[in-house]
Amino acid sequence: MKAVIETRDLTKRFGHNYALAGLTMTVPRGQIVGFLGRNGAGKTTTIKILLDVIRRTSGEVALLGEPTGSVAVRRRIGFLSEDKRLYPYMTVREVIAFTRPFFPTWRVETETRLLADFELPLNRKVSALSKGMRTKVGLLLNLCRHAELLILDEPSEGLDPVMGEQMLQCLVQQAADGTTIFFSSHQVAEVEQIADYIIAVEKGRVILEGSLDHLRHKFRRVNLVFDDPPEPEAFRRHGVDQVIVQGRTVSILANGNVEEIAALGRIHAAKSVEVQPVGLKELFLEKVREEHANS
Amino acid sequence: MVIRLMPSSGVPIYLQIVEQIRHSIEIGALVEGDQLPAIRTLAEELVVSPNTVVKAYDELEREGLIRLRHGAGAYVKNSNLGKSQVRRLREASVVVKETVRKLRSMGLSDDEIRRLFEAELIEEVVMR
Amino acid sequence: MPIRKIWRESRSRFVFILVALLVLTGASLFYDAQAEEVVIESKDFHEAGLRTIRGVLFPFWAISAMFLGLGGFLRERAVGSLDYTLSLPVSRTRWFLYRALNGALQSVAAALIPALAVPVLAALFGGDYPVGDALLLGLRIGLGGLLFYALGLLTSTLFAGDYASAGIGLALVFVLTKGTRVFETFERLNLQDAVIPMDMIDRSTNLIHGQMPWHGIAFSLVLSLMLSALAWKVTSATDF
Repeated sequence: MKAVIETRDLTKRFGHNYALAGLTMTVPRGQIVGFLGRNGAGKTTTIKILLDVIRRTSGEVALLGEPTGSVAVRRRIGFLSEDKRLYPYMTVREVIAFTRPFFPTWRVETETRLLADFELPLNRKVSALSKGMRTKVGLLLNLCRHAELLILDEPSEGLDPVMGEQMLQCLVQQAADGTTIFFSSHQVAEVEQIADYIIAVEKGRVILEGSLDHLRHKFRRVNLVFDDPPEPEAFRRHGVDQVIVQGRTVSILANGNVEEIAALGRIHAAKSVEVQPVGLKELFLEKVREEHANS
Repeated sequence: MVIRLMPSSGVPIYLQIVEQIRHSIEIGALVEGDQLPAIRTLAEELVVSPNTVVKAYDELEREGLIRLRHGAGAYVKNSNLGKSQVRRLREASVVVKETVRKLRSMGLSDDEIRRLFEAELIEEVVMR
Repeated sequence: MPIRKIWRESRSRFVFILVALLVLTGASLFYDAQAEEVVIESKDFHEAGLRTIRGVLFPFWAISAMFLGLGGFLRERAVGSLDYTLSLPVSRTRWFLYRALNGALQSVAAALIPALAVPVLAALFGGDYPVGDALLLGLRIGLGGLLFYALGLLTSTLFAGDYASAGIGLALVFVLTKGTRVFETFERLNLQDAVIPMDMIDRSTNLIHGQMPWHGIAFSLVLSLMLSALAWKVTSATDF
């Protein structure tokens, strides 16, 4: 089974508001997948549906090929919530002992190693831990079970830069073991750093999806300078996502056909033709703008 | 081997790694027989996806610069192809140096020079 | 183990309630309402015992049982650990069953133990109260009054916030106890009479005389099961 998570036309309605408005995505196995979106775009709603914490209004969804209500499937996944909360009255030792029996794939060697690496105080109550410490406990509880899929909701939220980087490092280590990582984030930079594949959402719909490297190869910004810039319409054709005219410069975001666009520029007597790579932030913002323009 | 990445630049990270390792080999920071870090180790150190390191190593192997021994690590290759690549690049860097000097003397800034090369290389970009 | 977590989370509340009911039972046993004084010597423990079990333990236990029913996922959501709990490979039904059983057993124990304290205290102070009577009455309270427990179970699945569910639960307990005494038509629904019917008590000895009927308790148990089933349904369908 190739996809670890699959949704088709997933919708979720709260009253009159559609938190998810037809979300279709496929999360490939064995990769680090970034689920990128603004606050309120539908990321947490989607994750809650995957974990059967809330029920979908319509559409299809499968987790490791099974329906989301399946208890057996939850034995094969890990989950770290945004606020990383656990049981405040339990000690670190107790919460580990509580979690361990649920997962047949739990490895005690990992537990011992991480306890040492993370320097966790076994006898301290969870309520007395800082968020960084709680995150480490949450990570340990997830990493020891050697799950096929790890779902994380805003993993670096509330963490200082050092802890945030440690978090990403842990995820990379898990990925090296073959675990698929699915993490939601509103921070483009961290997605760009570790994700192999991204799924970007806005207003409950997917606006951008694909392997990051593929997107990096595909999109280009072409800047053409003219003495007398032609109308933007002259450049609207297949492969052009956005045309902006600023003074004498026509800036084009292209998802292909770059050679043709550059040739067009020369036909219209462009003084200068520049081609630049496009970062994820620029791409994401443009797709958000398009989504709002279309609705 | 020091690798500095710019994940937000729009340039695929694996290509940045390839470029920097290639450069290390060129300048002699890495020589034939040197072992590159294991995929997992490099991924952890750079905090990038292991798949990215795999892609980089695969590309370096494809270019003939390294040899991947399954389960036994990656090694800088001793091969004519590698050597001639290094020699070629050394000769090319002389051409580039001379060209850049000339363009600078014409009054162009480094950014302008960079953009001229980018525009010229569009075809290659599209091919990829 | 899920059941140990549930027990752990309910432990202090249960102990508090048990201790409170024991204190109330002891106090009521030795307090003479008419004379308005504490009497220990030459006490009629049969009279005091029945009065305590029927008139004091039962109503206070009813309120306690309702409280023992509160909790569940909505409370856990307020604490913040619900996402973690629901992500574990345990079904909502299993969690609910464990919670329901744990609370039901605690409720029955909270009736039995104070009831059994009566013969113990009586014996300690030179009197007697039949253990059999105490055991039977305690058991009848615990089983017949599970309805109050089920009320707590249900309100806490419907209303988020301890105060809301407790408040509504208390109101319902009140209606079922005091409320049924107000109108003659509802007198038949009064649980206190169903659990400890006075016509089965020998007025001269204040002890049980004959076989106490169980149909009232059975009816109440069926209602408890129905309310619990409803609570389970709500919990299974809720979006947290």
